[in-house]
Amino acid sequence: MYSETPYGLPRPTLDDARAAVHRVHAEDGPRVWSHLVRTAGLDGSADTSEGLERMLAAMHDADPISRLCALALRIRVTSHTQLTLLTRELS
Amino acid sequence: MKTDLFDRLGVPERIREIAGYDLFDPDLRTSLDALAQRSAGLLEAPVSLVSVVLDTSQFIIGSHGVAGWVAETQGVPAEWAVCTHTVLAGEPYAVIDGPTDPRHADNPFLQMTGLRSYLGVPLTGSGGHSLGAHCVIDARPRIFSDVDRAVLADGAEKAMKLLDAYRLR
Repeated sequence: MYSETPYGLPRPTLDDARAAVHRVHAEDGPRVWSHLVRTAGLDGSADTSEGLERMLAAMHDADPISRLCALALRIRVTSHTQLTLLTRELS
Repeated sequence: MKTDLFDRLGVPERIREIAGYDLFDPDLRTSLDALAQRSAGLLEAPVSLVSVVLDTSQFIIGSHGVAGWVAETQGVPAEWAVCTHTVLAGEPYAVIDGPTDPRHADNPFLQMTGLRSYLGVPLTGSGGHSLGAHCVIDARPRIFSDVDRAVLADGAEKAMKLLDAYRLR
């Protein structure tokens, strides 16, 4: 059984993406998020890995601020993946 | 996730200022890599970074001596990035010996990489926000001198001049 939070790092979720968009877009956050949910073809409730991938792709192709948000979350996803592999190799 | 920290980093005006640069231009990357290599050489450190600190992660835009998973991701979660402290302080930030420093002893990034000491100088944008940092990281405990700080501050100034040439219109 391997940790789902290697070194205490949780894998980002769709809810984390929503929080990030609301954070950096401030009062425009709800409007931008609604647009991104539609673009990604999500209903905003299915918090799956595939849903997050579709959302990150939509954020990447959206405005420059959303793109940076997606990049920051992508770094966290890749870090989580790399460190999960690393902890498996070490165990 | 670390909501309080992300809220402090994710100030909309600061993120908007970072978004005003073309951080993905390969020529900018080449120039910032060279700058990091120069600072690493001058300060005799194995690692040097030029990075922006976004709301949830540090994004490395120029580097020297980076290896392993950090090279793969080109970034570090914001709560592990020592540059986050430099950005939030808005002034030069130093760590003499991470494992014995209560602020950093539990930092997984330092534990995993074996890096111990750090000196960073903020990259300050024209809007007055600390956008990121230019830093050196060493594998040995180290007290950085005023000359070291001056060299790195010069590097940070050069990094901002390079970034200014890649502003999006």
